[in-house]
Amino acid sequence: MRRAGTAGLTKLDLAKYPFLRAASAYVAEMHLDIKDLTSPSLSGVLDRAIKRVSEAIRAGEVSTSIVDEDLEVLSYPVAIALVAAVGNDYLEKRYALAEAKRAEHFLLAEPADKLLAIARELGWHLRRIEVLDGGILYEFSVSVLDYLRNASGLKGPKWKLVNRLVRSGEVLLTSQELARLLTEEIRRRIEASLEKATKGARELPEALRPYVEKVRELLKELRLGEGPSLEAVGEVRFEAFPPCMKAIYEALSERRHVPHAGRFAFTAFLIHIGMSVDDIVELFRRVADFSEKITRYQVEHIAGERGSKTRYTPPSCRTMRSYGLCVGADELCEKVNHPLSYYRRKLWALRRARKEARGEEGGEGESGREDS
Amino acid sequence: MRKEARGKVDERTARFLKKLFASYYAKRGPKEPRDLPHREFAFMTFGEKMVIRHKGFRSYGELRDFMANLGPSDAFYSSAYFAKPDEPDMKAKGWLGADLIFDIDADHLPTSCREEHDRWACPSCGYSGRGEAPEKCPKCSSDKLLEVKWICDKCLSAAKDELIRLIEVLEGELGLRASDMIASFSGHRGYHLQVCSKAVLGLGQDERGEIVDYLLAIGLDPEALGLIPGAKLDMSEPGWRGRLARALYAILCRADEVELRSLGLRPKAVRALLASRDIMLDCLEHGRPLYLPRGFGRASLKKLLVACAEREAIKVDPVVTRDTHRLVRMSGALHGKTGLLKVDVPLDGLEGFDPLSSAVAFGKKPIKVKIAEGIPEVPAIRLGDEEYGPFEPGEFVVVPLCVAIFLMCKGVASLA
Repeated sequence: MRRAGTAGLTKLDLAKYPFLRAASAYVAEMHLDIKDLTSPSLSGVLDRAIKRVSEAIRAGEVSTSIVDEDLEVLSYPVAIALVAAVGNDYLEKRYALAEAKRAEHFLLAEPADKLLAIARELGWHLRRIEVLDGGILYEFSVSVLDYLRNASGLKGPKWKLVNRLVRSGEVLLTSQELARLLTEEIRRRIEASLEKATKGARELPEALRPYVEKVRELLKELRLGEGPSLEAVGEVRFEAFPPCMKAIYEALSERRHVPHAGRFAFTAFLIHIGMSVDDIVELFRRVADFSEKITRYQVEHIAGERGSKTRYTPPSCRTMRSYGLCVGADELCEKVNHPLSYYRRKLWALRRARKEARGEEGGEGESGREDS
Repeated sequence: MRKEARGKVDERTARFLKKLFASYYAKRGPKEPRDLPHREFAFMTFGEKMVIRHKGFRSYGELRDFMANLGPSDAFYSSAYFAKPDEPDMKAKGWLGADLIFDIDADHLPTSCREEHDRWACPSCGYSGRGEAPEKCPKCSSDKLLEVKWICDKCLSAAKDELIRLIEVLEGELGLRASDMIASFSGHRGYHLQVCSKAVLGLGQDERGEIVDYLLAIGLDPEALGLIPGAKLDMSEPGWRGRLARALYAILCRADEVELRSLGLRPKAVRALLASRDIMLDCLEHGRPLYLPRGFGRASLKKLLVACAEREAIKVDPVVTRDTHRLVRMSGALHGKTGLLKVDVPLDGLEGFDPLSSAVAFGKKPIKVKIAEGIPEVPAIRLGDEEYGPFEPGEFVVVPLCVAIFLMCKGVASLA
């Protein structure tokens, strides 16, 4: 067996974490040509690569059994090439997440020293510590910036920087938490390498084309783009507004001051739930004394009809909170992290309730007929 | 609707200000922004209030000539670095990263001087008052009130103290290097802090938002920090836990029933707390597990600590820091609402820095102006070593040029 990478990483480690630089170095040393993949001796690699992708599509997680270490290491870059060749953003995100989940499974079982080696390989600034606080053992201390890069997308109060033990530019972590954050780093890295692979889109060898088609077929199983889109919803129902948007609406209609960020959030929200620019301008005119010209300009800007042509998305719950626009969560708020998700779910719930109400009445009538 | 008494600078005054600002830039340009070719520039003008955006300059000379020619009321550049800063389309600009920006505005701090120097008047009936304007005129219930918002040593120094606390937390707790920080007086009523380093360059909105939340204590959950009944609160501990312990100590030391009730505690909890205040203070002083009296439970502790957090929060403007495409005022450029300069202040010189002397750009040549009519009384302003005013609406006064410009920029005077 040849030298397998750096800093105490074994070949098994590379099989577990084939996205590490040490793993690509190992693959490079084998001097394989991508054209050889279709040769019978390497068909196992291609099979495993396709399996990686299909597992990602079907189960959302790449399987964790390791039968042959080389197969695991070698099949990863092939899977990346296949996914990149399909050129579908959604697939890229889903695949990156599925690979990251596979890695998390292994990370959660690693001893502290191994986690340290992997994190350092990923370029993190962290060190081992041993701090017992409130019955929790913190074994790592990571730089605030490495922390933020990976924790700022995670849900739950415990990941907020303000709720962490922060000391001189470092955040204390348990080994479980480190594993979770490394998973985030890995997901982003895989997304980045997919993006790079897509941009660099080298011509895929003819022999691999059918496999790309196969992935495209698999992807169809996911029925992308068939869900109901908010734009198609048409009607706008105030009862389904999240508390934050209701509060802004009420403040506007009582002519209380609403900060710019609040008006922006509200406008972007209305645009996304399918209200037209004209209707929004009309609404603003009714509830507040804004100049129509300025209001129209701003609404059109947010709708992406002017200026940068970017259609702005309303801020997430996290952002609403940090702007001080979150008025306190109700039960449904606990389950979502975006005002639009709140609206969508509430709308479904309202519809279902209405349908049920109607369904029950109808049902009784029908059963009556059956009886007769 | 409340309106600040400004904006309606008459044409003659606007031309005058534009000429003065232009000649200032011809003599002394702004400070050269770091990595100028990758920044977007934006300007506002006097009078017609134009906004010029998406400007790019290849050299400092080009920028300075442009400003000397335009005489802008305000000059900004992007906190972000772009591959093509002059592209009007945000996507085509090619975002390369952005400095981390903090804005502390005296207007957002709870200062008592606002009651003294902020005024309002009702143009319809002439009634006027101090402090923040009410929704409607108490006399004639017109909702078109005019406000004059002012600055003074007290509110500017409150903003400066907040800036110093910000720097301490960024450096001591979040590990940002003081050598990467540029502090400046904004030229109006606040301070800016700009962190330029490779480490912060690539931070996205959410990461910046987490820094904001950390400073403002948004989403702070005492229990997630391990602060539950029986926990040790150590006042010497770094980070939020230590700050909460110190704030709790301060609140316990001097709180009375009224103050504790105002924090949302129930009467029973307040009584329990006051009765065992000494034992609790003792626990805090010696770092012993915090004793909680009967009637003061987990929920009350949480409420109390959240109130401590609000007091300890560092009041930065959350919108500014989150934004990865922010336009920031140029250092060494004049502020269109005051005629004062935005000036950088070395961190070790902050304590003794006096904005109302250091930011004065224009001289003392006497000049005659007319104070606007139908506005509230104009408060006094200190510039340099002297105080000028207060001024009566409608009066003609002869004041030094720097004061005249301040009043005209504030929109409360015009060229006589």
